[in-house]
Amino acid sequence: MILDHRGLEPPQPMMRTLAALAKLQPGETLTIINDRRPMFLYEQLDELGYKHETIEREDGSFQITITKG
Amino acid sequence: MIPTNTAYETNIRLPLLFIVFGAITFAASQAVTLTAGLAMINGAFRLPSVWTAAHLAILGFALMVAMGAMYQLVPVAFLTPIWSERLGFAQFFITAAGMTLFSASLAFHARAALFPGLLLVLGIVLFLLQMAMTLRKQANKNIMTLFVSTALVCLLLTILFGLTLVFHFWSGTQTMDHLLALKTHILFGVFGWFPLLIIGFSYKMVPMFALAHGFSMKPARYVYVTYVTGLAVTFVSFLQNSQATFAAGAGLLFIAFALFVYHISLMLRKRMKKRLDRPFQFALFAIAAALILHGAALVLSYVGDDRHIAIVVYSYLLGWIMLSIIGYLYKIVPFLWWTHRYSKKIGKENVPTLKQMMNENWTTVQCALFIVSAAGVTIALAISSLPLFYIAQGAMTLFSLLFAGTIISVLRK
Repeated sequence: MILDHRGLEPPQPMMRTLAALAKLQPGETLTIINDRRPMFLYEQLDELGYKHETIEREDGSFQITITKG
Repeated sequence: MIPTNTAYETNIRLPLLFIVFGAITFAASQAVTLTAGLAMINGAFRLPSVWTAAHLAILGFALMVAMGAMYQLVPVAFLTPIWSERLGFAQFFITAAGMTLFSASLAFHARAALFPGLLLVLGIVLFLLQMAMTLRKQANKNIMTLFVSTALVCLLLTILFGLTLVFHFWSGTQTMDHLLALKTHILFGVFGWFPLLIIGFSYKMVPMFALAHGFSMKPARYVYVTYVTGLAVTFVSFLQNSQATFAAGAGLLFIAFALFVYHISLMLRKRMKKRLDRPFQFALFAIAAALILHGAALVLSYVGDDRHIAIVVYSYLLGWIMLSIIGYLYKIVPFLWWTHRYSKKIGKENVPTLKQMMNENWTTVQCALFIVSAAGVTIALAISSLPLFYIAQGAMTLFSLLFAGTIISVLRK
């Protein structure tokens, strides 16, 4: 699943990500595109044992791929 | 059409300039407060040294930090770039100079405070113009915009009534009842501008820091309507000099704040993050403290005298406004500096984590010191104990130095 959060007012991107993560099955992947690095989300993902990878896109936004462990 | 990146970022120097200036001025304000102990414990708040201490703390620290935080948060939270960053820097220097000269003149030559006061007002008016032009461009206005805009209107009213007060000092005449102007100045400044701003941004920051989702935003409109009505009724009570109306205003403000507390608790129940960060816990503690103080103000509106109400106003400033700002700064400053310094380097070289930018245990010790000191000062004022005042205010001065040191040390990482 890919969620494009560009142009959304905080905390919408974070809330939409959390709602999607809640539905994710083990091994499944969620990709989000955000205007900024979700700094406060990373800590929670690490704590929950989700794997995540961030790449900076050409337009300056960030694409984060999250895999449920 | 493919959406493009809409991340508006303010030049980090601008918010940091305000925040660092604020942290240093806070230390100065607490040292001046220490010298005003004898007057304050006797309930004499309307004296030059107290005016200076109050304005250094409220304008030099709280207002400057709030302005700096808005330069950073408004573009991020409302998706609209700052109207003019150049004006932002000019406004910083004008406000900082105006605030310093104004506070000094209150201490040494209150009659002439009108003139630096005008410089200070110019700085604040430029800020209001900046924010009005910035918020005007926000595409989708919402309840948070309403809270923040109303806060800005309250700030304008505060400086207008403040200007009236210093005009009275200068001219020796009264354009309106001096006590009415003073009470209204305090009402719109302490109970209008700061709380509405903090409540508005709390609706953004609480979900961010607690990782909460799936809650309703509906209660926010009831909080807004009740709070603003409470402010209006309290103002009318000053006009009528009516204790019954004053009690009604204090009651509405208490109900509005209780609704806000209820709404925040609903959000926190929907959170994913089980253990909240310490600085954020202190910002939440400040909300609880404010509710208790609103309750105390309500009781005193029936049975209290001016001295006790003044003590509640002072502890409201410390326990709610200052503590909220301090709690959020411990979160925001490391985040700002990390983003500026390391966000481009992550993945290419070893960079510290956000948590490593500031020692959380150390911030816990500092916040605890702040709370104990603020409680001590409040008790000292209530029981008129000079020794306790010196101990508590000394501890508060120590806190202010540690706080300024911690904020500045982040910028060296």
